[in-house]
Formats: sequence, structure tokens, C-alpha cells
Amino acid sequence: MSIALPQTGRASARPNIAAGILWYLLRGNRHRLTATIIYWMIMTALSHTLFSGVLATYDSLALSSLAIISLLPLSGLMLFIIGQFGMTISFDDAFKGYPSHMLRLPSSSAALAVWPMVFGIPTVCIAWVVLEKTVLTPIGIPTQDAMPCLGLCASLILCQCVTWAPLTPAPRLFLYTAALGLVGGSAFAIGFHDWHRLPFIACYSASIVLGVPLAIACVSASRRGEVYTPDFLRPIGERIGALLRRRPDIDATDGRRAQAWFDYCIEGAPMPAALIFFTVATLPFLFNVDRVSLVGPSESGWPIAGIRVLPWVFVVVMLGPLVATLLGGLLGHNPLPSTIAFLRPLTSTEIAASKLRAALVSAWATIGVVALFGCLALLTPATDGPVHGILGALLLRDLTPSRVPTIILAIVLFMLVVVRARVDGIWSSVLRNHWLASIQLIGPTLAFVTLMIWNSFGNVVGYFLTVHQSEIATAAVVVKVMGVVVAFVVLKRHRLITTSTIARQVAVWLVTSIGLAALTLAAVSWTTALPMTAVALSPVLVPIVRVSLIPWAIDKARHQ
Amino acid sequence: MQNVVEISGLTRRFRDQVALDNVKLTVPAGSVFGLVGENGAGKTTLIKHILGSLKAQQGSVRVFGIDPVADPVNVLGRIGYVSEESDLPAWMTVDELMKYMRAFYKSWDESYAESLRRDFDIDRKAIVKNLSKGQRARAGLLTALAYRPELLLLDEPSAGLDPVVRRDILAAVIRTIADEGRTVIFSSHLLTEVERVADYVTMIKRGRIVFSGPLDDIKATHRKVSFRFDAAVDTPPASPVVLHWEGSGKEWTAFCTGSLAEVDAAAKSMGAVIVTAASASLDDIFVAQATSRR
Amino acid sequence: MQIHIAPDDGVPIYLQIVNQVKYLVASGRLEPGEEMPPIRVLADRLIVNPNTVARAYRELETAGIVEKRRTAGTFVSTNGSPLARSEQVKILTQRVDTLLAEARQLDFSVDEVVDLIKQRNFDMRASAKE
Repeated sequence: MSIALPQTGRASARPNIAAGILWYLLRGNRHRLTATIIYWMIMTALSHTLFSGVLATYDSLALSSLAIISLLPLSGLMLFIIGQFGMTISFDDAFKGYPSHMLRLPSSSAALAVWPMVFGIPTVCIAWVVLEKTVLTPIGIPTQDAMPCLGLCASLILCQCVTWAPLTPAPRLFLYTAALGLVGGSAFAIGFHDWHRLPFIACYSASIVLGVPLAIACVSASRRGEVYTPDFLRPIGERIGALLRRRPDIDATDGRRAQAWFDYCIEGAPMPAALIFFTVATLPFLFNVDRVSLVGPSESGWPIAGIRVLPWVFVVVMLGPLVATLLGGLLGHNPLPSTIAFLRPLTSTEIAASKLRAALVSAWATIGVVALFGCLALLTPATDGPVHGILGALLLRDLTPSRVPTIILAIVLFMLVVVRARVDGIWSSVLRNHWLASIQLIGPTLAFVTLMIWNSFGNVVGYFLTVHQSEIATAAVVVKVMGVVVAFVVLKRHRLITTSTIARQVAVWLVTSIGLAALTLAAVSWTTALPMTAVALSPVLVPIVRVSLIPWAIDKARHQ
Repeated sequence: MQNVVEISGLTRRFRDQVALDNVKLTVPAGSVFGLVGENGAGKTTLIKHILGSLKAQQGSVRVFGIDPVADPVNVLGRIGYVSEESDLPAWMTVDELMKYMRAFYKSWDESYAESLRRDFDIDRKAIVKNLSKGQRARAGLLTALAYRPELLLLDEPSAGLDPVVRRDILAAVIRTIADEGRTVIFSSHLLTEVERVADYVTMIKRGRIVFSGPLDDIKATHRKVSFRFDAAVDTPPASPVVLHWEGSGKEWTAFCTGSLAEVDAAAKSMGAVIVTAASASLDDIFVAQATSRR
Repeated sequence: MQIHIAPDDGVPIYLQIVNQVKYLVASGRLEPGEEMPPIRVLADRLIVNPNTVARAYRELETAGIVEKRRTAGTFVSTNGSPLARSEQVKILTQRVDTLLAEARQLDFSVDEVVDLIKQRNFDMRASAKE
């Protein structure tokens, strides 16, 4: 790749390194920049209309959850912005150091190191201030200007140092986590606590001041081709690596079992591990709830007054697979689906069954992990103080016999969501076309958001829904049932499903639906009983169809 | 003797491009079948049809008499496939890989697999990702050979590998064919290898079969002939017999197809005399066919 | 048994094997009654198709240079001499043809070539004596 360096006006025609670096950054990131700007524009619009002030008052649970979820990409965004100034374009680049073709340019190491900083620091500060003013403040999140900027600049410089340091991948990963975790984590935590600013300011400033010469030294070392591999770390690194790579012994009695083991290793095993990591990392967010009053009776009709619990669960369950895939990629698991199964003497149905088995095992493991933390939260002694186990406190205050069905309903729905997420994971991995697979998520989300925005202009949608809720709910169920019937007919024609399997699926649906309906009727008030029952009949339908259609999808992917 | 692979009238398009054009191929059992062609000529596409990874858009593909798309189990269970793009999962250990493969094939011979592993000097505990390219090729070859498949299908197995590994691969091909009734199909750029081991050779050029038949026949009908013209010529006349001209003035070397009698007749009609005629190597044949504008 | 195969020689591989075996027999490096390696072993060693080796062995058998003994393998013929002689003549004839062609190119007459041969023979005998 040749960089078209613009010439300066001087006759000596020395290449302009600054322009070259700028060009490199812009060109490599043009797609992501576009996506970032679009996201920012959407968020600005939403934060001034739909989400306006919603997180300051917590009026609406739905809107608050939606706001929090839509803000999640923000951290990724800041990470991305910081990372890019380490001159990395793709994720893999982050482990390769300063781009080698640029190290060969006729310029000093200082120039190569400092120019990205010169571009990065103002970008990061401006990005933060703009985001703050246009998105975060209108939504109602209290923020500050100076401290986060300082913290972000420190993260930027540290990130550059780690990226350019002449290390092997494993120590580099460790340093990334340490640097970003400490600096980023502290910057985050300081927003919620009334700690003394001074130590933080000192640390951030020190990082910046020391980081600049360090970065220059790293670039020089890279240019000389040095790689520093600390020998004393190697045995520790190997042990950690072996620990992270632990997986069950292969069950090689026959092809189907071997394939199930394979699928579990690829998609199943990383998930519970990632989930543990993720849950632990996000728990503090949940436990230091000083905004919600845990003393005295709750004001809202909902038994779970901890507004953050629901979004937290959603985040853990939805982002779990994402983090697992990411971790899997870092640990060397192939993130792309392996077609090795397609070339084995297995029928498409058998391959589907194996993937499903792996997904279900993984789903159960996930549910188990979350249940474990639920129990821990329960067992933490609850008193009337504001900083104790939230579930314990809630149980003390809110648990009555009439609330039990609701709680059970919530748990069942959570389990369904997890299973469904795993099944969806199979779909996107088999189809290999992630756009097609994510349309299922993007489509309804966009529709929902559009309706909400329309609704905020005079409650048109809400009114319509309230008046016609029975008809709409019934229509939705009918459409879903018809879709299921069509899917089964198609599968039968391609001989990808047997009558006994269809019967079994229908039985599963009936049992779960009736169970759900019973729970819903017990948990919810009578006025909404009918449409809610109808709705309860359908959540299991789509996963059932997806599960049955997997052999068809595999067949399509296998024989193109 | 049954034909292991029977392909007729196979046409395949990728968007606008024609990858295979009315291809007909018959691979007899017990033979070593070489598939040669330039990059992008269609060799891999053809092999993918044999595996059932691609469906025949037009025409038919039968492997062991079965359609590989309709019945993958009975076809894939008897094929050993080694490809240039190493499809081995990077995260597995060699031990796990061997156990994984063994689970699928009833005819897996563990003692044979173990002896291959020792010959190839692959550590059981090594992770596939950490193996060198040559070792990975050997590991892939091992897992394809260990169950003694009826059909060994190799897609550019030697690409980018050092001579030692290439030797291993060829030796494996030889040993396979030495076992009664087993067939080998392999595509390669390295024509010296193809020449050593192939019974039949098929050349594909831009999706079409240029020649196909026993290697001896092909070598017998291609020769390098030196002509001496009566008068100096700038461009020698085009002739149906000549694929390619090289030379200047009165002395020209032609790459000819056809029998000696035909070449003789052509020489007379051009007003030239044959000085020498020698058999052409497969490499020469390939280059001449590839560069001819026919 | 040292055989070297050059696949892109232009000469078919089976013929190369046949010629080299003939040469080895004619020059005494393969003795009458000596056992030839089995087809599979030779194919493995040379890394060529066993069918090719089999064809070479068939040609050699037809030409009477080797004989197949049932269950025992393939052996060099013991009644070898007359063919060995004719093979030797053939080999020398080829060398002479090449020598003559080159001499003609370099503008040497036949007499000059014969003189040269005699001179070289004398020189070689002299240096062998020392």
C-alpha cells in the first residue's frame, strides 16, 4: 500500500509525515467514521425527543432501558476512537505494533509517534464534549467536562504505548487490559463517587507526561526490530493460556458425538466463561444503587424497583455471546464458522442436531451462571441500609404471594431469552451472512423505535394499540402460526424433517405456551389478560421454527 | 471396472463468469488422475463439485455412482480430501484432531495413522495453529490417509511447500495407488509431479477441457519440432498442427500436436524441412496450450 | 540399483527405467541372477506410478533382460550375454553418432577424429602405467 504523501511547497520535497499519518487514519477508517457519525446523529435526535430527560427521572422503565441499551455502543465508540490513534485499522493490527510500512518512512521516530498524539488528543476531547453536550446531557446523565477528557487523553497515550511496544501478543493483551481497565475503569467510577479528584488528576497527568517519551522510545525500538519477551512471564503465560484453553475431552465414540463436542468447543464453551467474566465486571454497577430507595414501600406497581436490574440482565444475556466470540477470537478460536463439519459424512440434520445440542448446553450453562449470581445476591444479608444485596432487600420489602407468579414468569422469560439468543447464534453462524441474521434484530428494533417516536407526537400509536390490543395480539399469533405451518411444509418437502419431530415440536410449543399463559394470567391484571395470553402463546413459536429450519439452512450453506 | 467419478455436461456460473463450461470427465477406478490448469481455470471448482460443496447448475455429477449433493454421507465417507487452504481447526491439538476424524470413519486404521504420524514427525500435543505450514499439510494428509479412502482427492496439495513435504505427499499418492482399486485425483501446478505419477491427465483452460486422456497418449501426440524453412520467414504460417512458434529467420521451433505423419504433411505444405523432433515434457505442453490463442 | 528419473526429459518414464536397467546390465553393475526390487518398492523409491514401473518390467521381460519367477520375484536373466553385447554395441553407436555430429559441426574430418581417438588412447594407457 503506497501512501500518496502530499508534497510541501519546498523544493527539497521532503514527504509530509503529518499529512501521511492523517491520510492513513482517515482512509482506513472511512467506513467506521461514517457509521460513527450516523450513530451520533441518530442518538442526538433521540436524546432530544424520545429520551429527553428520561434518565434523570426514571419515569418510564421501557424508555430508560431503551436509552441505556442505545448508549451501550458509546463505550465501544470511545474505545474505537482511542484505539485508532495507535495506528491500528483492524482488531488484529492492535497486536502487530506500529504499521511496519510506515516505520520505513524517512522520518524521525519522534515524528511518527507524536503526530498521532497531536491528532488524537483534540479529537478525543472534542468527541467527548460533543457527545456529552448533544447526547448525554439531554438524556439526563450528569457528566463533567474536564476529568473525562484528561482520563481519555491518558488512555489514548497509554494505548499508543502498549500498541507500539515491542512485545509478543500475550503480554500486550495483558497490558491492554491493565491499562484500559485501570484508567478507563477509574474514569468511569469517578463519575459515580465523590472521591478526591487530585490523585486521579496526578495519575492521568503523569501518564501523559511519561507516556510521550515512552511512546517515542517504543517506536524507535520497533524500528530497530527488537522484540522484548520477558522470560519470567512465559511459564505464567503458558499456564494461563492452558487454563483458558481448557475444554472437555473429546467424545469420539461416533461421528455425531465428535461433532457435538466440536460445536460445543467452538460456540458453547467460551460462552459461560465469558459470561462469568462479564457478570463480575458489571456487578458493581448493580450493587451501588444509591439512587433507588430500598427503605420503605415501593411507589411503582412493579415489584422489582431496581430499575437497573432488567437492563443489566438484558445486557449480560445479549452481549454475552458477543463478548464470548471476541474472547474466542483472542484466544485463537476461529470466529468464523468452520466448514469442516460440512465435509464429514454426516447428514445436514445430524449437523443441525449437533449444533443445537451445543447451543442448549451452552444456554443451560449461561442460565446456571446467572442463577448462581442470583443466589449470591439473594444470600447477601439485606438490611435497611442502601448498600446491600438488592435482591435480598427487595425480598424483604416486596415479596408477597401475589408477586410470586410474576417473579417466576420473569425467570422463565429470561431462560427463554437465553435459549433464543443461542439459537439465533446458530443461525448467524450457519448463514455466514451476518447482515441477514441481524435483520431479525434490526428490523423489529427499528420498527419499535419508529413507533415510539411517532407515539411521542401525541400518543397516536399508544391509543391505537390500547383500543385494538386484542385484535393485534390475536393477529400476531395467527401470522406466526401460519408461518410455522409453511416452514414445516417446506421442510417436509425437502425431507429435512420427520413427522415425529414435527409432532414433538408442536407438543413442546403447547406445553410451554400453556404454562406461560397460566403464569401470565396469574401475574397480570385481568384487563390485559386476553391479549397477554395471546402474546404468551407466541414467544416459543419463532425459536421452534428457527430450530426446525436449521437443517435447511445448513443444507443451503453446504451445497451452494 | 467401475468409474469412480462420472461428470457430464457440467456448467457452472458465478454471477456472470463461466467457471466451468460443459465439462465431461470420467475417472476410472484404480487410476491416478491429474488435473492441470492455470490459476482460476476451474480445477478447484471442479473438485468442489465432486465433493458436493457445489451443486451442479447444469449437467450431472456422480461419485461412486451417487450424487454427492443428494447423499453426502455415502460419498464423503469414502473420500479423503486434502486441500491447499488448510481447513484444519487452528485451536485443536493433533491428538484431538486425530480422534475427531477417527470418529467419523469406520475404516480408520489407528496403527497406520500412528505410523504415519511418527514418519511425519508430528507431536501429538502440538496445537494446529503452532504447526509450520509443511507440518499442517502433513497433518491434513495424515487425517485423509488414515482411513484408506477409496478416493483420495488432493487440491493443489503441494502449493507453497518445501520439497521434503512434496515428496511425502507424492509418496502417499504412490502408496495409495499401490493398494488395489483405490483412486487418486489431484490437481497441481507442479507438472513434474503430475508427470511422475499420473496415469491420466486432464487440462482445463478457462473452464473448458483442453485435453484429457492417458498421459502416454498425450505425450505421444505432443512434440517439439525444429523446422528449417527454405526462405527466411517473419511469421511462420498458421497450421492446425502447430500450437506455438518460436524462433527467427529460417530456423523455427514449433510445438505440434497430432501424429508424426500429420506433422510431416504440414511441414511439406509450409515448404519446410523437419530437422529434429523430440517428445515434449508436460510442462512444455501446458505452457504451449495455455499461451496458444486457440 | 541406482536409477535416476527425470520426468521432464521428454522420454517417457517407463522407457527411462528400461534404458537404465539395460545399461546397468550391460555394464555389469547388475549381475545375472540378481534380484530386481519389487514393483511397489521401486515405485516408492523413485516416487513414480507403480503402473509405470510395472510397464517397464513388462518391457524388460519381453526383451528377455529380466525374468519373472513365480512367487519369488523378478530376477536378471542368466542367459544374458548375446543381448548384453548387442546392447553394448548400441550404446557405443550412440556415442559415436554424437561424436561424429559434433566433429562435423567443428569442421573435423573423420580421419582427424580417428587420429584423435588413437592419441587419447595412447595418453590414457601411458598415465595408467605411471
